[in-house]
Amino acid sequence: MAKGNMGDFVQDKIMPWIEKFINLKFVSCMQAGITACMNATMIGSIFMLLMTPPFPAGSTFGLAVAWSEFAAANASWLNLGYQIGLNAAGFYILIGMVAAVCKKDNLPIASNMVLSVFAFIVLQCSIMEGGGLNIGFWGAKGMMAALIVGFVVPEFNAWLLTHGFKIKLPESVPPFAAEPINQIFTNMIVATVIFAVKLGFAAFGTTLGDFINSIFAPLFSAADSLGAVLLYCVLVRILWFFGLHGNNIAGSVVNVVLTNNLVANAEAVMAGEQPTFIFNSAFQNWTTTGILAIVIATMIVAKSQQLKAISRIAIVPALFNIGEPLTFGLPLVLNFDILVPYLILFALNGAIPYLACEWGLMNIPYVSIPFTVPAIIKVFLMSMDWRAVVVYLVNMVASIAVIIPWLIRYDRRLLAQEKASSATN
Amino acid sequence: MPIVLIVEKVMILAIYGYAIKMMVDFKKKDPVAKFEFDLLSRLEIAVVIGMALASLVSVINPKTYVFTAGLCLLTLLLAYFQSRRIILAGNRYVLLKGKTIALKNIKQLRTGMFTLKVALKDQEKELSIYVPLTSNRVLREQVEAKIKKK
Repeated sequence: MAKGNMGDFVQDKIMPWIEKFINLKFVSCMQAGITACMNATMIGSIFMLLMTPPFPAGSTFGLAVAWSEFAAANASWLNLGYQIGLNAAGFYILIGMVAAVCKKDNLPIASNMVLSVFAFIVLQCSIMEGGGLNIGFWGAKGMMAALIVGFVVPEFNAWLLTHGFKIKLPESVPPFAAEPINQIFTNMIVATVIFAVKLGFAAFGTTLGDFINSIFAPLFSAADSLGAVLLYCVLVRILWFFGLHGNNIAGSVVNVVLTNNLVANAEAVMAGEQPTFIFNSAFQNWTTTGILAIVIATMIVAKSQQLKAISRIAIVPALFNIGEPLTFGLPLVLNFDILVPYLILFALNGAIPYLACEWGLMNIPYVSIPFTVPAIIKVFLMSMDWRAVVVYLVNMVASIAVIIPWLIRYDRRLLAQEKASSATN
Repeated sequence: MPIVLIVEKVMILAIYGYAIKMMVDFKKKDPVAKFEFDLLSRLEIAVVIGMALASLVSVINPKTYVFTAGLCLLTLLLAYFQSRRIILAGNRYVLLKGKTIALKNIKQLRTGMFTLKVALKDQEKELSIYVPLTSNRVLREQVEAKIKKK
């Protein structure tokens, strides 16, 4: 297939389907819901970091001793911050989801928010022996349920209101007085349905959260595999190859799973267990480390003016994991000369750290770190393991080795073009 | 040593109080101003708020003086520099480096390496804000578009 035809094929046949999927109400609101919990999970991550010093027990290193003593002295406060921040991610997703649905459908936010929170608590919580509310499903375990409850409750409430589920009041009652009464009526219907759902699941010895997780469990475990990582890496790069924001588009599909996996990892660490989900939203950062490798390789081989200029412009953004100058400057977009090594390089970026985690060569990431922190620092902080830095350096060397032969060939072609151009001038 | 920790905690509160007052005063001057930040800016602000909360609630214990003091100092510095990097834009004014500047006084906006450079009419030296905390959309619509219109 000719190069121009491939681009047209993607644009005309595939992109409309991708755009349709992304524009589905549930999917677009889901993105807002996941984003809403990010601030809280960041704050919770800081508390978790401070609570769990990244040093082996019994270490006599000065910082390790000081940090451990700080963690011990402030355990109750740090744990509270972690529980409210990271371990209530599902609750914040619910809030974000309801706000997004109400904004999209022009529904009153306050009443729908209260109703959805009520539904979430009824469906997800239970009373413990001796009193107290069990909020175990407010974290990773409750994320999928939060998305579904946050979407269904406002939509159902709005459906009831628009389909005539109202109390017929006399004409003399003004609209501003009738409105709240009708809201109460529909709220009562929704609450009844919620209790019916709760009782229905209880009759089968389960809860909504458990049921949803059992349906999505195969997805989560399938997502946490080398195949899934490679598929994700290649798909993201193919989208970037066609000038589309691969991370955002692929992220709209996978982020809910990856965020769930990260929060589950954090919960495991806090419970003194090992994290189990390798492919999570912190691990995603590994899949973009190739950008800096390409820039460094370009700086090494560049003899043509174009590649020299691009490498100088792109190096500083690449240090902070920003790849747009390189992507559109080299360019990587629609550059068939580099497509094959480009895909291999980023597949390696996913495979090397995944296998390193699976083989126990480094800890599984469990801390969320802002995207723009330089990668060499970020990989350490994500898993609190110095071996991650070694894996990163190995990853960089492998990536540079993959791309260099193709860059040399590309550079020679550009150099010849530049020489021909200056000869004619 | 406890007095150092107490002073640091008070200063953290003071920095955030100053930042909030700065934004509230700006909002009073230009009621249309939008308090909007990009995702990356919001995440960075959340991280420092997390550190500030941890610094403020940490106990004053002789065993942990040095570590707590170090954490509080780091938080103080990060919070201070963040407050200087916040950019808010309204219809008539822009908040830059803690100062309220009239839009009509801005000659040009340009970007450097992770830096936003603002040229003003009434001073020769450009204002440089390194890695600004803002919303690019608001900057484009509220500031850049209006400067180009003139």
